[in-house]
Amino acid sequence: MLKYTVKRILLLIPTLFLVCLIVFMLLRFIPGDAVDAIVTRMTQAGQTVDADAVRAKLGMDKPAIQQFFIWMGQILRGDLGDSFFQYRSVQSIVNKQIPVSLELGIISLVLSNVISIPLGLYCAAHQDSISDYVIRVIAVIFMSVPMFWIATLVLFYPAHWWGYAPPVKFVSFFENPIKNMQMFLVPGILGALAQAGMQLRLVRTQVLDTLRQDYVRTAYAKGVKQKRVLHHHAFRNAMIPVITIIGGSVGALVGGNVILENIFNIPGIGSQIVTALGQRDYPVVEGCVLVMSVFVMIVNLIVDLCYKWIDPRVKFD
Amino acid sequence: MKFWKDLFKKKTLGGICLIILLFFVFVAIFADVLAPTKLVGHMLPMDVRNRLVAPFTSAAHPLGTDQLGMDLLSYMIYGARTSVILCVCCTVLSTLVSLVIGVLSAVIGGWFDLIVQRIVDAFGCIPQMLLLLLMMSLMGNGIPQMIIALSVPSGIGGSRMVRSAAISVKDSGYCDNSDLLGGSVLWKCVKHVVPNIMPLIIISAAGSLGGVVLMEASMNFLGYGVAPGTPSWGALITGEGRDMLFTAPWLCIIPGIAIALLTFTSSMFGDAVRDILDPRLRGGVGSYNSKKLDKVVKMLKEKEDEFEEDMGDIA
Amino acid sequence: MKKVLALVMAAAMTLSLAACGGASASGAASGSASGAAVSATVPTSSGEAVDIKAASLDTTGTEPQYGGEVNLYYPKFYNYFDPAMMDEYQFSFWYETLWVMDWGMDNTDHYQFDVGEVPIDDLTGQIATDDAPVLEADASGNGTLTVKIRDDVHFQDGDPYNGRLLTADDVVYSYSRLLGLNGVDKVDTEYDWASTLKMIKGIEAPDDTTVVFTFTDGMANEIQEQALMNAKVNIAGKEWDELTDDQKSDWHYAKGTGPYILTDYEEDNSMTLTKNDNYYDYDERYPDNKLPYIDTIHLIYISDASNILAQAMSGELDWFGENGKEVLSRDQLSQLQDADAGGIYEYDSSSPAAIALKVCQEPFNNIKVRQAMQHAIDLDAANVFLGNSGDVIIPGLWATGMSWSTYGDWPQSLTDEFAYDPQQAKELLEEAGYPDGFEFDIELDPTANLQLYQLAASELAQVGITMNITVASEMMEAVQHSQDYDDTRQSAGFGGGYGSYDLAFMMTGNGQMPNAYGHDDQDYLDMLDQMGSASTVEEQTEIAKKLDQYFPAQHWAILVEGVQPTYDFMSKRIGGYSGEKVYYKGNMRTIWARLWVEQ
Repeated sequence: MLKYTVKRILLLIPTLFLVCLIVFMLLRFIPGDAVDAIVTRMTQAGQTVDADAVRAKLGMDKPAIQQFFIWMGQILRGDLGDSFFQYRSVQSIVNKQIPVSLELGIISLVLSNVISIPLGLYCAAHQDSISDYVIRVIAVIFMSVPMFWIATLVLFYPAHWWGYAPPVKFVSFFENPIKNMQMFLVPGILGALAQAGMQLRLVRTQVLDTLRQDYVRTAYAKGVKQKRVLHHHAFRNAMIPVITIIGGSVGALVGGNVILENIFNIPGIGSQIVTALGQRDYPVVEGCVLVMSVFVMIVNLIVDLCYKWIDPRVKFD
Repeated sequence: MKFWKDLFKKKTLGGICLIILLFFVFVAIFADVLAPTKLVGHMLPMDVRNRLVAPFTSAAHPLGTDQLGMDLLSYMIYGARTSVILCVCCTVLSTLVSLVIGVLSAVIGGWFDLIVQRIVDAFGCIPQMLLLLLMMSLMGNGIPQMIIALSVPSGIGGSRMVRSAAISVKDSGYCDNSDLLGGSVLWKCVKHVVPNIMPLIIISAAGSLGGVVLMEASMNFLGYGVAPGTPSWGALITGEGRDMLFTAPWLCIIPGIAIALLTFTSSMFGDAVRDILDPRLRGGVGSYNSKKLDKVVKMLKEKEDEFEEDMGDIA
Repeated sequence: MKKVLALVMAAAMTLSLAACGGASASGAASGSASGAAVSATVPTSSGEAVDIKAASLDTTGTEPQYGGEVNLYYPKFYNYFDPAMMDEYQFSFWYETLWVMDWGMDNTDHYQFDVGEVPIDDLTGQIATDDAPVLEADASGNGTLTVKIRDDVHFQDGDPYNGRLLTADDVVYSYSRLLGLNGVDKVDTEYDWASTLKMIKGIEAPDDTTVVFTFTDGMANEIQEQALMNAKVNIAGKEWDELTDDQKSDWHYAKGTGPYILTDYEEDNSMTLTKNDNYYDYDERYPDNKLPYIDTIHLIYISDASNILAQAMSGELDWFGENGKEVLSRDQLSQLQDADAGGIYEYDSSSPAAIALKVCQEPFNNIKVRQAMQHAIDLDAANVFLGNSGDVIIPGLWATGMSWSTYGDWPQSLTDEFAYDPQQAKELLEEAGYPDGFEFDIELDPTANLQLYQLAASELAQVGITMNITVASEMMEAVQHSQDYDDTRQSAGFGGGYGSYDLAFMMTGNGQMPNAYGHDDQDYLDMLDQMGSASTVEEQTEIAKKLDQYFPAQHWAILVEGVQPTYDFMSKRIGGYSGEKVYYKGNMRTIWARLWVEQ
């Protein structure tokens, strides 16, 4: 186990390097007139620059390889640079807004699992029954309907019928948990519903898969009641792939649900990146994507380690 | 073929969904013929004085009109074309990318595999939505750009699964591991591996069909997507649909139903394909649930009773 | 069979949500607000009308109440608190200017809101006393303006001013830093101060309560005095320049002399302002009442229009408005009206949508082509699309509300040039040498009404002209492209524009109105120069009126809609106000100190 852990941590390094490389390269494809647009905007904001200065800031003046290593050096020292237009450092943006997205993601994750796992089990236990079909169809419908549509309805009707709207003024969880949850609950539930649909079907599939295993068949043949088979034998083993699925969805969690953040006015990393992209504030985009990717990497590693700990038979490449 | 028989007999829902999907494709291909009002240039003609006609109230505009007086039926038909093009191209391109990366990585192995896998891992770490937005913002709006943005990252991600399947096929001994960088041996290996992982490819392709249209709608919501003026369900629902939600709800409901239907049928079809082709999940002996179990137990009991009777006669 | 049944059940359950949407069609407004004059209606697309109110005086005589909290919509966060940042939304609460509009005014006929300038008589003091400043000028227009300021204005407590008294030196400092006078470093800002303050070349403080402005040679006259008093310069002290850059971005250091103190700040989300108990001013209409009335103001940025609607409907948002832009669609406004959450106020939009042509490029250098394009556009259809019931209003160079506008006095021949006549368009195109039309690209800024331009594109297509539309992802980008005459994209929306809005925005550093359309029309430029150097209001007005009709006759911009109203919202809780167009940015600086909330 220890050897495996060390091996995985060591593997992080080349992956991290490659993530940096990918992000760096993508942003070198900035179209020419974007540079001009940045110049104009910065001038309007009171900074004296010209196209060359902007290119230097973006790292487009020196040969790419050299610039890449300078940039990597900066990153490793913890300096993510400064935003072009927001008068603050990228680090401060990241510090402020990633926890917000995380909070939304965690709420969605928890709720989605609370909904999908029991329902998934139920559906697996009652395969092909009418309730199985109804639940599955509802799940797929929730997956098929665009989130912003549901969100718009969810915003409008409570305001229309009861005069209620979720608060838009952001209060940190540590300052005032109740007000904070009032703001995050509705988008959290919506995010959960979107994920729950997919997860429910996955849970169902995995449990069914487990139920077909030989040892389950043996248990039934030995006369063990179905309930005990499910709880004692199948559930725990079925949970292993389910944990993988949860782990995989953590990546989406950190990604920041951009649409929900936009509609419900949550100042998270997703909406920040959308704004920064629109303004062509590339240092912010670079920094945020990088931090998020590192986060996902670390979370994936932790999930993999948990998986390995639970089921030592598992092998990874 | 057994596949088709299974699809329509056993997984009827999947079969119906396939037919619906084919209907969409048909509409997309024959859009120019089917649409009551044709595109002029690349835009539909606008009859502003007949704007916001409700559906089913006018013979000239069976589905009503939008804010600018464009006939909604024609818009939906041309929009189907946009959606189908996106779905088909994204799925094909994504599958191709997964296939190429996965198979080559598995077959060549060694340092090539190591490096490629690290690159794939790295792509997997970048949150998908952000990568999408970044690519769209760099490439601009339009259908080709959307196809690339929607398929390349997911193709790279899907290559992992292809690779592990390809490895298990390769390890079954048909490929000579010693000289894989020699062209002809490599090619022979690939030619062997690919057909054997076809079921997996098909399953994942069918499964990924569904998400494309929703992603397109989401991108339109954030301002990226098709060029303005191109008929598209996503553009309609996020633009006019949301603005006119309460006075002209059909602008939201009709494309919404279309999007949901397309996604839903794709998902169901993908499920059916997976259920049929994935040997582990086949029904019959392997499927356990309480009702079937009761039937088996009852049957066994009857047999037992018969046996005892027979035995009783002897004893 | 079971499966199909299940499918139908599930589908019906979930999709019934959507069916609800159809049930609530907009009903006729009930017109329940009291005490406000109804001036017009907003017809929605369904044909039902929405009651809207012209902002009007609070004539009920209800005594204002102290206390309460309001939530205001706020569109832009800077994270930088320099007093020279022009945006008036952000800094009208804790900073103040020397002069503001007269709070007690009763009618606005003689205001020129769209010029942005209020006549001198209707300006009152804020930091400057109510006494008129003294203008001393000689025959050739050289001279000074002497202003007395109040002696009881204090900065807010806390760093960097720590509650000290404001003196004339601070006023001198505030103006000097914008122009680089008196040894103060010129500050880099978003707004081009050099052109707004071009009329002064010096400023001094002979004593603690007197400020003397020295005019640039030849500019000491009534017009320039008016311009100077209207320039909205925030007053701060020299402690500001001693702050580090980090401190300047730290909201804790954002202090001024204004009625509200910034007490909380969440980037890109909200600001909280608390009543300044040491504020010096009293309500002109209730002279015993010390201002301000409201205890707490929250400025909130909301990114999504349907959320703004929900907040307004539920009473969580008390005001929204954004100059020149519709925050909510007409449909959403009608929902708001139905909810009876407050009043909806109308004002003319600053500039109608148009396609600004770079007439140095072909084929736009040929006036026949431009005339043809205008004839191809059906302005009446645009009106129908936007849901307006009135006639099409075609503006001249100046907005129709301005005293310089000659709207209504146009010769028929000029009005006819804007008539919808595709046949005439085709003939003109043929004469110009484009019998088969041509193709071109335009770029919109992100706030432009895309569908309006799509409508225009389809109308142009009918005469053979193909217009390809792209939308810039950012406002500044569109503006920048519009100023690049090598770029073949024509501009529309904010980057392009029609009339005075466009010109005012494009003002360059040396105070000259630039050549926004790339033309080389010397007559036009000469007339602009004459206007700029006019020494009496009458002279200025005369030239302005000529320009008003000259501009549309050139068709440098193709109008795609007539003048349209925009709408803002104010909730019922806001107990009273005076002055029309209270939401107009010129008023923001004083009204929130004088608004009160029903408890």
